Amino acid sequence: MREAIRVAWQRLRSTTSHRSVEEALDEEMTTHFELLASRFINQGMSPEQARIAARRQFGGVTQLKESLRDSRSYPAIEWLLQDFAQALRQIRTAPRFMVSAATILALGIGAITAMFSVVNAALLRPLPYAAAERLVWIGEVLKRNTADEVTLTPNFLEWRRRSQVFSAMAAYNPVPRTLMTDDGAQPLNTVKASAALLPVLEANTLLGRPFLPNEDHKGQDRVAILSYGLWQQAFGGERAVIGRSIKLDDGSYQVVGVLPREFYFPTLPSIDLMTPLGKNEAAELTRAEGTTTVVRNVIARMKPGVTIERARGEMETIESNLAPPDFLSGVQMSVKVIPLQDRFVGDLRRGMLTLMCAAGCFLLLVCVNVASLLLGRGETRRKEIAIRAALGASRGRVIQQLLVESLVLALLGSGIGMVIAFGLRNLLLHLIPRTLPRPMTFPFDAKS
Amino acid sequence: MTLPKPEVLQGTLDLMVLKSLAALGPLHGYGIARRIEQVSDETLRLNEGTVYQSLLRLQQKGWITSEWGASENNRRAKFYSVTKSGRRQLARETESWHRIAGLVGKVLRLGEKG
Repeated sequence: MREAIRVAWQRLRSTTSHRSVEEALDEEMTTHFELLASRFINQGMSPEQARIAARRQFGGVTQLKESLRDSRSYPAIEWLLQDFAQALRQIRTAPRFMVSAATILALGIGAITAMFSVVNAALLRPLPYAAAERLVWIGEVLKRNTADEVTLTPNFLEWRRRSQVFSAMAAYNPVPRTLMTDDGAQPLNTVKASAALLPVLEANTLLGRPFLPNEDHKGQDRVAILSYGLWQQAFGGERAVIGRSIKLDDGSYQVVGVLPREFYFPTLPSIDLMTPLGKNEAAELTRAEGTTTVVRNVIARMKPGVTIERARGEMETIESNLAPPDFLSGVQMSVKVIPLQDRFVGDLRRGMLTLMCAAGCFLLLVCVNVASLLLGRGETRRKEIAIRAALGASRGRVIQQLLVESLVLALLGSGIGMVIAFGLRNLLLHLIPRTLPRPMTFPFDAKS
Repeated sequence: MTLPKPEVLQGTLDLMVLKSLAALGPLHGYGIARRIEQVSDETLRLNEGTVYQSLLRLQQKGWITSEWGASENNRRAKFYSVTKSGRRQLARETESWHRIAGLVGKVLRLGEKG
């Protein structure tokens, strides 16, 4: 076994150092030949006779060389290398053909690669949360003349109290607010969120602590968690920010935590700051006009093993036992439970898939185009191929050479295609709403 | 006697080359051919070129190494010598050759008797 590996290694090494070995062999054989011939001369032959006798005794030089060449290295690999070199020469001798074919290929490959890397990130990869497949988005649909997707806070509280299939449920509302600093005011994207939000996402704070359950109640909600970005930008990334009081346009809050840099807020564009939901729950549950408020988003984590159908079934049962508040009489209430991933991607899915298909068709067209270019070129190369065949190239060898040429073309095309894809990708990113996960860090991974 | 088909005697030729190098120290291809001719009382005639195939095989297996030197007619020639693992291999092969030869001989003698 060790010998077999050793022999293979020796042969591989010889594959690259071809010429010097061949010359050395020539020299060795010449020496041998002359020694043989001079021996025959010493035995009394004429130089001419000696040469012939030496040749007879040595055997066929060409066959010998041929067979040594075959067992010294791997001729198949050598041929392949030759074909690559030949294909690269083609670029120099027929630059117009090669460049145009490669460019067409590059456009097609670039388009599909860019599309795929975006679709891959948006549709195919899971959301950046632990066990994201267990996360659902829940919304209430209130229907009278039109359908409103908004959840009544008392109903959210009932869901949370009655449901069995979720390990945690959280609500949040986006609120534009202003940060008051000594230098002036800074507009912020903020959100009011249940204390359960981070547990639902199985996320934690980088510094400090998440909200406590009692902070969900109105009056106890004067605490805030900063995003990593805001912490860096407005507070210089100082750890001492925990415990400090900050002023927003609706009062002052005590900073209790900072989110990790990679934390991604679900379904909303980047969020700077988070405060507790802060509802007066007792008042909400009276369902009176004026005290009943709404929440825009409810997300929940299903317990392990619970299917979305079961969660939906349970939520529908709970919902059917709830009556709309009196001031909303005549309104039909229903509930919608969808995977969080679908909520993220939403309507984008169809558009993206359409674009993807378009790019696929484009690639197909490109292939047809290049194929016809190659065909046309094959016609003009008949003579060259005939010469090769006449010089002893086997059918397989000629086919191999043409295939290698196409391979070089394809490699060239995909190389340029990658560069185009990189540019296009950044363009495509602008078409995508900022609510998609990790929009600025779309991977350019090996699959694309 | 001329050597039959090369495949059959590859192993035999390799063994002879290895033995010649082990017995005489570094030799070039011509020297090896002469040595084999000599010990076989000039009854073994081979295409001397096949020695080079044998040398290549042995070298690939790491049983011999080569070094450039000057030949008798003052030309450059490669001198081959046995490596440590080549000697071990030679010992192994010699042993198994004797065993097989003895066995085959026994079998043939059996045939004569009975």
